[in-house]
Amino acid sequence: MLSLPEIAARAVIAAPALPALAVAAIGGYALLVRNPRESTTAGITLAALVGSLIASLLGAGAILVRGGEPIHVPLGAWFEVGGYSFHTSLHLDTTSATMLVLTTVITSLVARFSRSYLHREAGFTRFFLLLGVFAAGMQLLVAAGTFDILFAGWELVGLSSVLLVAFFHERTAPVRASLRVFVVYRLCDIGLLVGAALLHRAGHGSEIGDLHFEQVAPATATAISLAFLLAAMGKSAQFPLGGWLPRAMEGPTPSSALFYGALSVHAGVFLLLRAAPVLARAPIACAVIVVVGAMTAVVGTLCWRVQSDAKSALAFATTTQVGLMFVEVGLGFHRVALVHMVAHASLRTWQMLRAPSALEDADVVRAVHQGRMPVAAGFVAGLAPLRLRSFVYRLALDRFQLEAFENAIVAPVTRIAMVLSLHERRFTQLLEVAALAAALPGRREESSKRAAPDAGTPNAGQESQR
Amino acid sequence: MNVPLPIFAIGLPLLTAILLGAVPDPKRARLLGTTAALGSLALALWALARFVPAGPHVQLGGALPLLDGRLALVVGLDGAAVALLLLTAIVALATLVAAPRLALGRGGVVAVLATAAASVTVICARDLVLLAVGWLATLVPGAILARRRQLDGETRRAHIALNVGGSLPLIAGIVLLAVLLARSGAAQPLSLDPGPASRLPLTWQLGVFALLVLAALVRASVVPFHAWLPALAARGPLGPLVVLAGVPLSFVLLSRVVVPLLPAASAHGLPIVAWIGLGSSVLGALLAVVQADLRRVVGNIVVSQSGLALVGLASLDTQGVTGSLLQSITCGLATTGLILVAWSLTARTGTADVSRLGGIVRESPRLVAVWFLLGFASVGFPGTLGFVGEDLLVQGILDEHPVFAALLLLATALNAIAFLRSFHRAFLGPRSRGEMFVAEGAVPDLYPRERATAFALVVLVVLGGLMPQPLLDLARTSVEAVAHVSAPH
Repeated sequence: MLSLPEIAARAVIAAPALPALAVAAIGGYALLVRNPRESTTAGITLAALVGSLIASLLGAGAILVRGGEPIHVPLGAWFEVGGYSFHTSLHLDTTSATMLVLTTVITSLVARFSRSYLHREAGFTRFFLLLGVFAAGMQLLVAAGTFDILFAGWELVGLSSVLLVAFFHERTAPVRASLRVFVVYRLCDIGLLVGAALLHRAGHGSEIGDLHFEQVAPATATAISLAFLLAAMGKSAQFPLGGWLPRAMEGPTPSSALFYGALSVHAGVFLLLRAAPVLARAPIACAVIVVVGAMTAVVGTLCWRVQSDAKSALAFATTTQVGLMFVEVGLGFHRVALVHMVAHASLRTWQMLRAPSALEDADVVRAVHQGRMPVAAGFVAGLAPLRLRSFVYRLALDRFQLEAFENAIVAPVTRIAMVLSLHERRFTQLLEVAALAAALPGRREESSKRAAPDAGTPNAGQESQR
Repeated sequence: MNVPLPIFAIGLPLLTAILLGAVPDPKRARLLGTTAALGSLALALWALARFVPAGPHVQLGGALPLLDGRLALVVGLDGAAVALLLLTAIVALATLVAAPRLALGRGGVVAVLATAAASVTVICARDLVLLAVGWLATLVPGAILARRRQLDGETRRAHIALNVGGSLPLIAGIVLLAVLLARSGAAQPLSLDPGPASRLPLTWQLGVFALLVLAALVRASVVPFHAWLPALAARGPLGPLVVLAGVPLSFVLLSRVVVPLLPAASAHGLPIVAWIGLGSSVLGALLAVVQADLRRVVGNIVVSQSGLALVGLASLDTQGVTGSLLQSITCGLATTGLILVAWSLTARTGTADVSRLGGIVRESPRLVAVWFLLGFASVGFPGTLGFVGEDLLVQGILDEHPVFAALLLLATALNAIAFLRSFHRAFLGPRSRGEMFVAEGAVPDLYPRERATAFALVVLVVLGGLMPQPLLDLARTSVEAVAHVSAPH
């Protein structure tokens, strides 16, 4: 008979499952029928994310009730062959419960923010699909009970991250940046796979809650730790593998906040926290982690001081803090690293989401220091109610939607012109045929000679292509 | 008389292919061919329903005695064969439904059905004559289609490499085996009974092993015998190529003939095969990274994936062999979709050269989405059947060869990079502005028939990945039959 906390812990399965279902529903519809409406896409995704949030709160509540004692939820074997079986399970303890709540809260907030921020953006559906993939992956990664499941979540996070960097795919730079991110991710992911395989080989399975490494040779523990470190360095942009992070800021602001401010960039720290029992047997690996983290922190802090744009500065500031977290993990201060991670993720999400309003924020700060009202909230603005003020502010940010207005005029005119052009071509063809038919046989050759140079026009080229 | 089910599975596409000779209209031929392919799929599903995974190794079979019983054409299905039967039916159906009309005329339809019938013959064969006849017959439709066209040097060489390299060693190997067995007094020298063959002297075993393995390596398009697959993927003929690339007949030859009949030679030779597979997986991936033609990218990824599958099979470990089978099936499903999409794109734009494309996603988002999903399924992304296959492969070889496992992981990483690189260059970014670029707005999105086919393939690969156990149960006895051979060593 299961106790109430154990039942609540089982509800955590819904945390990754709901966003995955939302992705399948929206993606299947988009692929087979057409892109759903913005409100439908955002509504389904948000509903799924709120469902995840409730599930994660239930899980965290279960851990609280049990006074921090971990709950391992076995989900059976995914598949079995011969003597080998791929176990699936969830593992809830203070680390994963904290991260789970953090993940679901931030993802839901970012989804709500993006609904307005990406309104009328061409890739609206794509963004929410990838957000769903990320949410499913990140929650699977955090709640995973084995390193194999963690890897599955890790890959989903990586893939959605790469595709979101290339979100504005009309330009060359985001596409190049995205490939660069992918190459680093994919090569570093080998470390995670090798580490998990070595865990299996050491005869311990890869159950996260069940790592007993007292009998394992320090050499094996060191090898596993270093393999995991490689994976963590890739995902958390640690020196010298972190060159991709500033370039990854090519993606839309909400995804930058979610991935490189809040969650994805901390996945490496989380992985190392998960592997803490192995790290405890590998002092050399711990020393390497400290060195890597410290170097990243120094390089990051020097770089952010000389950046000329807000998002790059934030990217380097993030690597600095994540580097410090590596140092904390390497020194064995796991609880400090966890608190640092939660605080940093929350602050950085806010900063990244405010980045497009950086000028306004700077003005407010300056005004407060000078003891005056900020420009945006001057006398006239003070008369208007708050809702109107934010509406006007939003309109101003969007440049009063003049582009959309122009498009609304230009698009129908272009369409009418296209239709006219099509019919015009048919009409002239008809005329030519009529002229040919009416002409005397002797003039037919002449008219065909006249018609021949037309073959060189662009229209003719297009037609031959069809 | 009780006709075994495999005879129907061979007969239906074969007879339809012959009948289509009398149907000149390509539209009607395509309709008839598609109906026959649907019938083949129904037969394969029927076989799946009647096959009992916990039952005997070979089921639903029978024998047709010839020459007073000295020769018998024996057919039957083991678990892996049922899975491959399904795969063949799906590949043929997908090709007939979704291939661009220009690339698949009446001759193409006939060739798809004939190649599928020959592949089914190999899959169902339980004796060497039938297996060899089916194996050679898979090469004939493609060769006939190729003879009707003007071929450039590279394509001609590719055809010769496939047709000669894929057939002569097999014939030589089987004739040599039959002669040796007949001389040693075996009653039925062409049966798949492992008893008499395994008593042959090691030297002769090694000779037969080398010949048969060579045929399998050529067919599996493994480096250095790989060049035909990327070349034909780019040049066609499309119909037979998809079936040749999609249905892993080399797995059948190695697991059903080479390993059980020649255990001593296998123990000596398979490590070399594993090295070749490993080299192929890494080299194929490296080659894929630098290809400019999307169809060649797919071709080289197949080369790499075949190498992976070969390593798993050569491990003779239960997990490794299962992983090899799953890897081959995933590769077959995904490759079919990818080649068809690449050819659809070529039919729309006149090129599959990434340097002349770019930005296709703006006009054809579904084409690009399907390409992406199938590509990532083929490189073993979590949640797809390929992930299960790769996990089993790595588990299978990890204990014996940890270095192999690490290199395999590198190969899969390179495959994914090659795939994403071509994806980015062809489908994202601005349209190329070089010479002979493709006009903006000239690329219509997938038609409903293409969309439905691609979606079905994606669903199969994902469902297989989420619920792989039924497939694993189906293949269990066939895998154990191979893995058991290695147990005494």
